[in-house]
Amino acid sequence: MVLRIDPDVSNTYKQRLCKDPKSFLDYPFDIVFSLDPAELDDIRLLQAQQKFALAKDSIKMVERLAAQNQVTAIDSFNDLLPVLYTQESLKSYPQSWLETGDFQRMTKWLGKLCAVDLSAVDASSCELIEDWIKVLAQQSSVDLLISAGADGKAAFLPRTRDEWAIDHSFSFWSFQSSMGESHALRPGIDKVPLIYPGARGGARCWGRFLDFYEQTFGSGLVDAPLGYNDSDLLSLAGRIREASKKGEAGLLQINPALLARKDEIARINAEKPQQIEALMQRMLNDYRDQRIIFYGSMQMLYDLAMRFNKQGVKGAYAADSFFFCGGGFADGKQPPNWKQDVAEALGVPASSIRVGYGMQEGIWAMQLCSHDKYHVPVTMIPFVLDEANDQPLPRTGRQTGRFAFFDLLPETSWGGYITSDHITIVWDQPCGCGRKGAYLDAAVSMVVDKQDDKIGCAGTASAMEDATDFLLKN
Amino acid sequence: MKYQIPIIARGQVIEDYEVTHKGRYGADFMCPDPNKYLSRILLPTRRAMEPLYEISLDDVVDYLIELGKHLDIETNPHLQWALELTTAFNDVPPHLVKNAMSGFQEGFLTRKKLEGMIDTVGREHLEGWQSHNRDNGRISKIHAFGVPTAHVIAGNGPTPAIMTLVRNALIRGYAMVKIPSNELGTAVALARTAIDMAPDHPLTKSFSAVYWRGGDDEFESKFYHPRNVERIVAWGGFASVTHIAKYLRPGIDLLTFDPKISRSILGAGTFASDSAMHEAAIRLADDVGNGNQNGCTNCRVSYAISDGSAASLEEIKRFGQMVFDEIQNLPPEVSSEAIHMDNGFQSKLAGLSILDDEFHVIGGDKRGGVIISLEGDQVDFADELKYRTLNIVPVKDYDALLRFITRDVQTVGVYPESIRDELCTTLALHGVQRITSLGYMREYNATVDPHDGNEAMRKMCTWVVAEDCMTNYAPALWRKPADEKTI
Repeated sequence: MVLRIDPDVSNTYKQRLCKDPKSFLDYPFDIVFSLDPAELDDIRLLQAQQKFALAKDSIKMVERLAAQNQVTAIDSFNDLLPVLYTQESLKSYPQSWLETGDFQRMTKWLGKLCAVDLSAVDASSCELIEDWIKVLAQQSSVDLLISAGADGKAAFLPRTRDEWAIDHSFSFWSFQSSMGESHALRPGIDKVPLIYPGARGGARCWGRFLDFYEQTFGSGLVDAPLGYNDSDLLSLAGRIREASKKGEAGLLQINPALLARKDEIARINAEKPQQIEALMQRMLNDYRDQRIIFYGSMQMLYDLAMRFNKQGVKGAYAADSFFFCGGGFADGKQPPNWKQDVAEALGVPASSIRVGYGMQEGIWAMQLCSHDKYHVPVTMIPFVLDEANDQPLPRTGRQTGRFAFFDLLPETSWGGYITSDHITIVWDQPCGCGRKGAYLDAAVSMVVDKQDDKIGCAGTASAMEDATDFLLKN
Repeated sequence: MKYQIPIIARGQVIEDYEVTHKGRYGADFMCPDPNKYLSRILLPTRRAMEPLYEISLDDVVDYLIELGKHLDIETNPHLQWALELTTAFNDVPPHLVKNAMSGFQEGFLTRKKLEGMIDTVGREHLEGWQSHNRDNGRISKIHAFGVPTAHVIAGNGPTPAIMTLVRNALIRGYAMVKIPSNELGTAVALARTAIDMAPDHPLTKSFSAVYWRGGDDEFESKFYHPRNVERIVAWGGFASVTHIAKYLRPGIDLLTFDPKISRSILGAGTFASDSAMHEAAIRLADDVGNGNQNGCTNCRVSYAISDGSAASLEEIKRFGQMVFDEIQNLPPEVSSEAIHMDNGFQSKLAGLSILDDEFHVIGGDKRGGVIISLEGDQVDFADELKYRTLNIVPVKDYDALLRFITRDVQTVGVYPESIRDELCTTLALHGVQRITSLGYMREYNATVDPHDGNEAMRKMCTWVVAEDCMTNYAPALWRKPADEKTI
């Protein structure tokens, strides 16, 4: 499909993009993805150079990575690789600070991950992460993002309210663009319920978008049944796991006030199935024939459709409803024709079921195009790394490996990350959907340790998982 | 490129390559299907072990000494093949593997070394039936026997393979080695060398080697059965032992060599003079860097006694720099810069280096590094330190360091020497299994000294007693006092 773009519009778009990467949000998909890839790369490189030049003097962590790796300037994309963060960067604080509630030091550490000046923040009264999040929000522009990594240690990303606003605009742009001009929601006019089978607020980022949705379209529109996601509880299992590495002494280090709350985890976990089932019932009954927007997992969407099938229901919702999903299926196996089956049960075209890919570290989201590809946002410099040695693979042809990216949208935090996702990028073959530039295959998985039966003699034999389970159950 | 790893089954080389496995660093390797050859890997009958007991222990020693003469890496094509494999499948630099292989003969296969290993069990128990007169009149004759044993060995170097071969030969057992995916060649190379040297010797037929993917239920559920395997010697941690544990049952014993980490203690005397500091730095550099810190015996954390004063911390920083410099001076055949550092580890170091008030980081790149914890708390990733990176933790006294000592600590190196005598019982009670002089942590005589807290060879044996109850008329319920005279 060849798209004809007005050259004047295209030129203005390019000029604006050079000055401000977020200006793409003012344009529709067709224009955004119309730039010649080489031309777009020039713009991206220019912006990356500017971002690095600023960050090396204003973000201590970037300064240190640059010094360690002798990076003084960015001449090519690959020069960025040594200064990218990893998940470890966002949790490089000593765990003992969290356990002793030393949030003054946590603040000092956080301040070195971003360009925001946090020196005036007084976190001395904080005992738990939730206190700290509040103090940071009150005394600075940081609205802290927390996530618990695979090893359980909590990672903190110092995103500012301005950056969150960009993130929401991106999500909204992506959301509106997916629905197309005729179905895009009109603020003040359309009152469409947004259903999200997760927490309404608290840790993790989605609660913030739900707030944004209600602020834009009206309060009471969001149905997210899982309450508030408490950061301290979110991190507790990981903290116990971290502490158990240190033996009995480590376990004594956990803040006793927090450890005492471990029963809450059991209660929350016990209540969750009922809350999700109650939402299912609302979707099966209360929302029938209405227009709805749904954000959730493929598995839940599929389960919902199968329950409609069992009841012999077809076309359960209004045809202009939209379903955004991701996360794959519980057993990792995609049922054949799942999208068609779900679409039929829910009463929408298959194109209204959108599969997305994103991660908390990035201010971006991608949705599969009509040809099942994730098109790389114009504000992202993607990399594919050799999983054996983390060296960059050529930016040509089709490459498979570890995904890394440099996100041009963050303004005071740092946008470069090496992820643990295993992806395939096609760099220079046009996609049938007509969008230009590199794209990812739909299949995204975790980089796995391919030789999991490798045995060495160095390490510790502690049964970490067992210890954690024991502590949480007793 | 695809590499081919045969099965060695009781002196036979099976080269029917039909299964392909993906290696950790991108290369593939092919093996025969172990399910197809299981019956050839297992002993057909226990009678197959009888020839091992028709030769003397001296014959065993002579065989091993002869084998040692054939294990010259410069001329042995099988070892050279194994060395080549390590470049594709192991992250230990090849020159370090070669260095370890060069030490096979001197390290394990001299008469003196072998006799030392025999002494750990007792020649009298390995050679024949040792008589013991019991107070109840019985004569107990005790003999230690080798049994069919699965050896799930570690692959972070070639040493576990040679150690397994020698231990198995001396106790005259039947070893079935599960080849580690990161060290595919050495066990096969040793077996093939033995086949070239003495194809029909019972000891040659008592050492098999096979690769299967750890956790392969189809194979393991058939293999790990008491009629096939009486003992499992498992190196490795929770994950590797967990899937083995499900096969344990009465009739199969487990002997584990867990992964360990090692640490050192620097007494106040270390900082008493420049010469003491320098001496300790040279020694500690070897403990950290020898073998590129891939081993369990390598030092990863040092606890330095300090009053916490600014002057003391400055002294420790100066000492850290000395250690870093001495790591760079280590001979290339035992230590070298990292070939590749993983990004996560680099990020952790960068993370510490921005915390200038709490951590002082020297180096922290491919050359290695020294992290000084200025506030006395070891780094969160102390057990995962690698690429010749040491964490020095100032502590005010010995009590303060004991909170970091657990059963995961194998070796503690000490300086000066007096610390050993002062702390060895306390350290042992905290789980430490070896206390040694600083600078000697890497030289672990695990062939003759307790290995990870085990008397390895004794535990690998099945101890059998043959009782003579009649010579001394041992009491029995059925025996009447008058009977004694008539029998």
